[in-house]
Formats: sequence, C-alpha cells, structure tokens
Amino acid sequence: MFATGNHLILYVAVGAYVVALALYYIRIRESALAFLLFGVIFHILYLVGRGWLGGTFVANPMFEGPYILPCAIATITLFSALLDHDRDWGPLLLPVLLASAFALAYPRGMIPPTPKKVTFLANIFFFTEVTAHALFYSGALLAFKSLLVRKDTSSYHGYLVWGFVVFSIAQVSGALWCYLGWGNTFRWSSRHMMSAAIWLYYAAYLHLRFLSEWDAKKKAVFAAVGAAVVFVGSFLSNLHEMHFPRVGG
Amino acid sequence: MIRKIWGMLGSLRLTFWILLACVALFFIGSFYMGSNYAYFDTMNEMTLQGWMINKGILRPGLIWWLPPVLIALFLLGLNTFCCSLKRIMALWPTRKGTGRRTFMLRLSPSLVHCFFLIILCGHCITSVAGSWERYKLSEGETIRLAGPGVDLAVDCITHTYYDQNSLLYDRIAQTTVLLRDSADKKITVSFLHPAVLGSYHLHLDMVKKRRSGSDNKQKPVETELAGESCNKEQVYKVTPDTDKQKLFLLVIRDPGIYLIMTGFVFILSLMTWYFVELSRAGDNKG
Repeated sequence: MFATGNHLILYVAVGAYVVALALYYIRIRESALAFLLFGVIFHILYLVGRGWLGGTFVANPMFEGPYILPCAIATITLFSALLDHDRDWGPLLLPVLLASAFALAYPRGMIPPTPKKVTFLANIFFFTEVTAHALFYSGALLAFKSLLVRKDTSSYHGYLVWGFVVFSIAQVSGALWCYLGWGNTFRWSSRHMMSAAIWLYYAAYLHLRFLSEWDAKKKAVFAAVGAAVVFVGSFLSNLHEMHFPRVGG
Repeated sequence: MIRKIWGMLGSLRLTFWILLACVALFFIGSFYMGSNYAYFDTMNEMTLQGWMINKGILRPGLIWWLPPVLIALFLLGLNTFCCSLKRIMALWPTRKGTGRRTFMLRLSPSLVHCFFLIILCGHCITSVAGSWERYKLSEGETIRLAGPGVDLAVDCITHTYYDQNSLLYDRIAQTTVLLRDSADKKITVSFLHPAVLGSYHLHLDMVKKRRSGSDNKQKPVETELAGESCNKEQVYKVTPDTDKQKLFLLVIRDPGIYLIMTGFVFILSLMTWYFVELSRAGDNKG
C-alpha cells in the first residue's frame, strides 16, 4: 500500500485544495473543480493509508475526526458543484482549508484502539458523525453568506436537513456500539451529552420553519450559529484527544 | 381552561424553547461531566434515583443542572405527545381524500415523533428500572450472580494480542471468557460480544485499578475509577505490572433496550424515507 503512513499525501491533497480555491476565485472554475477532485482522491488515499499506521491494519485511524473532516467537506463541495453548476461553491473551500490546517497540525499517530473500539459500528459512527458535522458546517457557512449578501436564500437548508439525518444515523450506530461495548445505549459522559446537545439544536432548527415569527433572516442566523454549537461540541473533544498517547506516524 | 392548557402543551413554540433549554442544559452538564469523570461515571451503573440518593446528594454543586435536564426532558416528552396527537387527529379525517402515499408522507413526521417518544420512554425505564452488577473474573473461580441468581464457573480466560511485528504488539486485541453454569451449559463472552442469560446481558470490562476489599461482590466503581479519564487505551496495554489489569463481568438487565432499539429502527427508516420523498417532490416541482 503506497499510501501507508505517508503524510506527504495529505500535503498533496491540501495543496490541491489551495489551488482549487485560487482557481475558483480567478474564475477558472472547471480547473478548480478538477483540483478539488484531485484533492479529494488524494485525501481518501491518505485516510486509507492511516489504516496501516500501527503496522497492522486497523480501520479506526482512518475515521479520526480531524483527518476525515476536511475530506468530508471537500466531498460535499464537490457534489454540490457537480449537482448544481450555477451554485457558488467557492466559499465552501474555506472550511476545507481551515479543517485541513488543523489536520496538518494534529498529532500524526493513531490512538491504540481498545478491544471495545474495534468494530464496524464504531467506524460507521465516526464516519457518519463527521459527515454530519461537515454538512452542518457547510450549511452554516452558506447561511452566513446569505446574511452577508442580504439575499433571502435557503440554499443552506438542505445541508442541515441531511446533516440531521446523517447525525441521527451516527447516534443510532453509536448507541448500538455503546450497548455492545459498555452495556448502555446512552452513557452519562461529556461526549454523549455534547452529541445530544448538537442533535437537539438541529431538531430545534427543523421546527423553526413552522414558527411564523422566525423570518428568513432569523433562521439564517440560527443556522449559522449552529456551526459554533458543533465546533464547541466536537472541537474540544479533538483538543482533548491531542494529548492521548499515540503510536505510529 | 383545559383547552388552554392543551393548546399550550401542544404548541410548537413551546417545543422550540424546550429544545433550546435542553441544548443549554446538556452543554452545561457536559462541562461538569468532563471535569468530574470518575464521579459521573458511576451514574452508568446505577439507577438514576439510586445515584441521586447515594451520590448526587453529596455534591449538589456539581449536579444542580441534572433535575432541570430531567424536567426539560419530561416536558419535551409531554409536548411531543400533545403535538403528535393534535397533528394525527387533524390528519386522520383527510386519509380518504388524499392518496395513501401522500397521507403517509404527511403522517410520517408525527410517526417519527411517536417513535421518539418510545425512545424517551425506553431511556426512562432503563434509568429507573435497570440493574447493573459487576464481578471480578479469575480463572478457576466461581461467581454467584445476585440478579439472575446463578453460579458461573470461570473455566478459561484467553487474551489475543496484535501481531508481534506491529506497533500494537503489547495491546490486547480481544479477550474471551468461557463460563459454565451449574447445568454445565457453556457461555462465551468477549468484548463487544455480550452473552444472554435470561433477561440479563453479560458484558466484559477491564480496569487497571486495584479494588479494595472482597472482589467477588457488587461494589460501587467510583473509588477504583478515581484519576481515570475516558481514554482507556492504557488499560489494554500489557505491562510488567499485570496484576493491576483486572477483568470484570458486567451483568446488566436493561428493560428499556427493546423500546429504544425499536424506536431507533423506525425513526431512522421513516425520517430517511420522508426526506427522500420531500427531495423528490422538490425536484419534480423544479
């Protein structure tokens, strides 16, 4: 596996994202899209390579949040661009680059998995959780943009709705995993409480459309603030895990 | 008066504000739990009322947010029930006028809410009526499980490790315990593969702290968890000081689990179907 533990591949992917952003803003959009695709492919290769960080294949490091988040946002951006050619997808590259910068600064190795963590349910949980975070961030950014340009657009709504669905899948897979490993579907712990808070926040967002006093602008503000909720709810956990002992990398 | 209360309880505005209150309270709780891991971790092996009486009451400054959480969740449940009932009552007379598919599409958000209620009830039952016991496992010994009322002999404990040539060579990859009841029926338990014993589920757990007193009795876990964090990777690392690594059998009876699982399956299926159908309808419109 040529990508095994090769962090150069991550740098290539991030470089491609930077070029994609530059090309997008000098209006060479087809090439920007090509570089974005190039970046996503290399990023996925890097993630797959992380599976061999411990010298034997373990899937868990492939799904580590800080590494998978920029790839997830980039993939969402790619699909947005391909599905709707007129969509202004350039701003979505900004969170891709911010998340990539954090990934580059993040500890390289893998947290040795405990026997309770080596299951496909854990992988589904982390994959869907980060994908949902990526959708929430993308939606929040588009909501923020709609506030800046003072245009009544609800283009962000779909991102948040699908983010909620994917996040619900994460919660269910997480609950199943938790039951098999620890004997509870919900544990009284910081991590579970944060996840519940994020889920409830977006449940509240979904109910907003039925409240007449919440106009488009207020809804956009609520959607944009969601990024802060997700950030606090997930980033603190990432920071905490930076201090965990690691191997490889 | 009753109509007024019904209208208020079934109000979406109330839903929204309860949800936001829950968000705030869960965030606050999360910070308290993050900085008092050992204290709050004991909640996971006790009934809620048992924990509140035995542990919670001792440190009110740390748990002041918990009663409001429970009240907010109760109100959310009540509000969800009223809203769903209101909506179903309004939709039901229209079932013949619209096609079955359209009717189902309109009904599915209410059904999602009903299954959410079922999940909430499941969690409530688990928290109030669940039982958790913990027994130290040593090869050759027999343990008496208080809950199920059976004796289990620990026949064999086998650890498997990662490849010797890998960086994880000193880590336990899996542990399998072979138990035998008095009728010589064999029960195998390993991490992530619990065994079923009547209405009880048997799980494995490993800790690296020395327990005080007799090992074969059900005991609180706070003392042995003191100083621990949510990161357990060191627990499964083989060190020369192996007597600190102890294997436990968790004997759990969770009467809410089937409600929770049923709710999960239906809520996910209905929610996905609903949003896919909505997207399709949007595409067809466009």
